[in-house]
Amino acid sequence: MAWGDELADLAARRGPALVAYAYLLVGDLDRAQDLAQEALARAFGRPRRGTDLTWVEAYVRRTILNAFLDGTRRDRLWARSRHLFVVGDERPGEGDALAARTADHVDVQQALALLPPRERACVVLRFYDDLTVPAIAERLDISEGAAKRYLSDGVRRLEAVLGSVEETPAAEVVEVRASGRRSRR
Amino acid sequence: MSYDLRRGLDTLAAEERASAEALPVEALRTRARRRRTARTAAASGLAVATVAAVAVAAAALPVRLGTPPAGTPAPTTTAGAWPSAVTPTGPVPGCGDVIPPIVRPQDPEITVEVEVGVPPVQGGRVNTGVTIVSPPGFQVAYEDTGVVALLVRDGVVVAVPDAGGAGVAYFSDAGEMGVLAREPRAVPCAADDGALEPGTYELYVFAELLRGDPLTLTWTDAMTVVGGPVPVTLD
Repeated sequence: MAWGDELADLAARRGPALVAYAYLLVGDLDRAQDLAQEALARAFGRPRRGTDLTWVEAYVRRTILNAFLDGTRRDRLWARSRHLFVVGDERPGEGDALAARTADHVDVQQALALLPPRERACVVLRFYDDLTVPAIAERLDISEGAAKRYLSDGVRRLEAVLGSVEETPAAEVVEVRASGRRSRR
Repeated sequence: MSYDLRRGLDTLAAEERASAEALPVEALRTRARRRRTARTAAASGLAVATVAAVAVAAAALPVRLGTPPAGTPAPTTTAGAWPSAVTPTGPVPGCGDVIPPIVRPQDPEITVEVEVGVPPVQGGRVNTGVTIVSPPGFQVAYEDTGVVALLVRDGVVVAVPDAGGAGVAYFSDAGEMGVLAREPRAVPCAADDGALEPGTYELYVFAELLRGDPLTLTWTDAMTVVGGPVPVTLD
């Protein structure tokens, strides 16, 4: 399959999922659409070997995550004050659409909006992507200790809005290392 | 009862997935193709690594303009006429100026690709990506102060970047000049509260390209090229 057809195929089949993933990070559907498009353009903007679209999707997701963190890093002042402009950014009809959504949806959305970018990224990677703490640390190129701290702080902030947060069994990963030691995360 | 965050995020993502519009496949193909073309052009010239190394060296040196001092080696860059490019018929416009008529040759050899970031203006900064592509083997340079993004409405410049850039020069003869992440602060020309009105604008990029000696950073001549206009909507 030619690269252009692969791009069309991936955009059609996985585009909405990529946009949804970006949305969990940026909290704005328009920005999420743009982020997903930019990541797809980057992924297919360079020749590559193989046609494994699963790998390409993983690359696109990583690009979305990096673009999100880079964007927030570029202008931290704006990121810190963005919540002050949320009301002004609401578009006509958006309030109605929001009201029509489930209360659960709105709660999570509002709670996520309170998190600084890295905490938000860690929460999404942990609770949506089901990554372990070491995997989160690797993905964000930070230490495991930092990843744990971001995750812990993020969950604490979320709990202020959502109540105590449940760690479902899927999140309890038991790793058996080569040395025979067991570590529970 | 504890909140099931995993389920909450899944639900949120599923609802957004359902309301997301289909991605514009043709536009995506065009963007990806443009990136591929630029990469191919870059690969057909000198090694990119060499160019990067020279650019780093250039960044550490002050940029000098004007005639080479006596005793310096003769410029090694391409002499003669400039390759065809999109060029303005007047000087780079400033605040309140009308955009000069632009000469657009068919299939220009030097192009300025402009991509607008998301959102286009964030915290007063214009998120602009600029890629300058020149023919392989044609050595050309720019200083970061010589690449200017302008917001235009009805043909008139309504916002200009604040003073920025460190006077650093970059150059390449490898085709793709590279992507500049330009984030100048947009200073509105007329508004007294420092804000741009919501609406549709056009983003132009004017870039002064230089030729000269890359070792001594001595430029012998220059040409201004234009990228855009790219439509920008501010909410």
